[in-house]
Amino acid sequence: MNPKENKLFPTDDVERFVNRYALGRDKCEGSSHFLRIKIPNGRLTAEQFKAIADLSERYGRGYAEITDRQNLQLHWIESEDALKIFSKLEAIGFSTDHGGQGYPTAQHGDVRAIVGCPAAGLDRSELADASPIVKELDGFFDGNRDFLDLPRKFKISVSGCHLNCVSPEIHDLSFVAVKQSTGKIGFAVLVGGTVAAAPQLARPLNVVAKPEEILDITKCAVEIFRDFGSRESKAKARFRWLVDAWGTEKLRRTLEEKMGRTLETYRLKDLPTCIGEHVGVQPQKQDGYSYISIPVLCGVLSSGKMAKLAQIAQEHGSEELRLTPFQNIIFSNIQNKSVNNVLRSLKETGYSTASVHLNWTTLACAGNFCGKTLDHPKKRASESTSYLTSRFKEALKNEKLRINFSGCPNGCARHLIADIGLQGTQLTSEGKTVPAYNVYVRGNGCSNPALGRLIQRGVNAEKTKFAVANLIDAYLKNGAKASFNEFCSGKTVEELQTILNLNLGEMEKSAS
Amino acid sequence: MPVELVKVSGQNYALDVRGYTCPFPEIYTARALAQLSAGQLLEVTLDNPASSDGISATAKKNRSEIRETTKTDATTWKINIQKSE
Repeated sequence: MNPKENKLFPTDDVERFVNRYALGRDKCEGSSHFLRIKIPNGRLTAEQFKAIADLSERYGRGYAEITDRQNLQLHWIESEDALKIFSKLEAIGFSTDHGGQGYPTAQHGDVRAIVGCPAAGLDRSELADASPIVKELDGFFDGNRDFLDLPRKFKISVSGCHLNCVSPEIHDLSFVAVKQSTGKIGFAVLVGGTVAAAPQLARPLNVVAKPEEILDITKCAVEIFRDFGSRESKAKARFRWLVDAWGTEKLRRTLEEKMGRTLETYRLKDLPTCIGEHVGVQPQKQDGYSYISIPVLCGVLSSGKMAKLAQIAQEHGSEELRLTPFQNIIFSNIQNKSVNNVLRSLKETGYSTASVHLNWTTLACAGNFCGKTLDHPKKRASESTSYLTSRFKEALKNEKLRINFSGCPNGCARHLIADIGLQGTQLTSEGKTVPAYNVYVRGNGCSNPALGRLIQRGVNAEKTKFAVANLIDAYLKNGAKASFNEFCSGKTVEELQTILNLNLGEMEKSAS
Repeated sequence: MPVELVKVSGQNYALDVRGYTCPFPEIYTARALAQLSAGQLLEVTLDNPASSDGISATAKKNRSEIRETTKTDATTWKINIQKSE
C-alpha cells in the first residue's frame, strides 16, 4: 500500500513518557491499573506528598498505599488518564516502575526502586548515610534503556542503618555498611536474595566496596544479570538462580573482570538481617532536632490524611516526609521544642507514637487488588493487630514482633522473614472454597539466619488472629527468657502446631 | 520509528505497538480508533500481556468491538477490532 495512505497521529506527547512511566495491572476491586510511584529512598517534600494526594483524590478514589520499597501506590487508574498523571509526576520529579509487567517468558524486567534507610543522615546510630548513593543509583537506572529488558525484576538496597531496616537479606543486590578492622566504613556486598517463589536469603560476595565503587559494581552486576540470566523460564529467571548456578566465586570473578579491577576481600561474621523499624520520636545526630516515625498500619492512606500530614510537615518540620520499608512515615528535622506540638497534631489526624509496636511492623500486601488471593491481606492484618492489641494490652505494647501477611507465595509482604508469617492459600470448608493462611515462624536472626519455618498449613482466614494469638500467648507466658525467635526455635513443628491450634474453635465462637 | 496507523487494504488498518508497556498500547489504540470510520477494522499487534486485557476496555470506551484475539507466539498477541460507529 502507499505509505501516504497511512494515518498519522501525535506521538511526541506519549513517547516522552515511554520507558520512564508505566501502569501495572490490577484484577480485583474494580481496578484495572495501579500506579507505583518511585520515591527514591522514600524521601519526598510535603509539596510532593500533597501533589500525590491530589492525584489519589482525582484519579484513585482517594486511596493510596506505602509499599515496602518506599513507593506510593495508587489504584483505579484509567489508561486514558495516564498522560495527565505522568505529566504531573514528571513536574514534581517522580517516575514509576514498570509495574511488574514481566512477560510470559522471562524478559522485560527493570531495576526497581532502590531502597535505603529512611532515617539516613538523621539517625545517631547509623554507620553511614547511604542516601547519596541511593540517589546516584536511581539517577543512573531510572529510564535507562540499557537496563529495561532484564530477565526479571532486579531489587537493590543500600544502607548504613544499624537496624538493617531495608532487609538486605532479601534483595538481588545489597550493600550494607560495615566498620572494617582499619576503622574505615565500607559496604559489604550481598547477592541473590529473594522471598518470592523459590526463596533464598542473599549470600555474601565476600567483598567490601568503597562508596565510590558502588555505582560501578551495581552497573556491572545488573549487566551480568541482563546478559547471563536465564530467559527461558520466568520462574527461574531471578538473579538468585544465576548466583546458584555460578556460585559467588565465579560471580565475583566475572564482576571484577567486567570492572577491570579487583575488589577488596571482606568476610562477614554474620549475614546482616533486618532487626526492626525506626519507631516513635528519636533524637537526630543534628543537635536540637528529632525525627518522628508514625505507624501507618499496612501503609494504607487516604488522600485527606495525606494532605493533613503534608500540612503538619510544612508547619513544623523541614517540609520533608520519608517513607519506610515497613510502610510507615518519618517526619525529619523537627526541632525538639516543636516535638510535642507535632505529636499533638499527628494525634488529631489519627496517628499516635504511643501505639503498640505491631502497628509499625505489621506488613501486608495489596493482594486484594492483584487477584492472586481470595483474601484481603491488609484488612486481615489490620483486624489481627486490633485483636492482638485488645487481648494482650500492655504485655504486647513494646514487643518487637513482626507479623506479615502475604496473599500468595510471591511473598510481597516478606512473610518468610517475619516473626510470624502468614501466606494466603485456600481450603475447602463445608463444600465451599474459603481463604486461608499457611503459618510460618521466624527462623531469622543474626546468629542463625534462615527463612521462616512452615508450622501449619491452611488455617481458615477467620481464625488466623486466634492462631497468631495462641503463639504470642505461649511466648509471653514463657516470660522474658528468650526472644520470640528463640522461643520458636526451641520447639518442634508439632509442639508449635499444638500451641497454635489450642481451642481455635472455641475462641472463634466466643468472639462471634 | 514512531507508531503509525498503517493502511493494509481497503478497510483494514494495522497498528504495531510491540515493545510498549501498559498504558501506551491502550493509548495508541484509542488514538488509532479515533482516526477510523464506522466499519473499518484495526489489527493491533502487541507483546505486553497487561495491555492485551486493557485494549478490550479501550475498544469499548471508543465505541468499537473486539472481533478476535489471537496469540501468535509466546509473547505476541494480535487483536482485531472493528469500529462500530
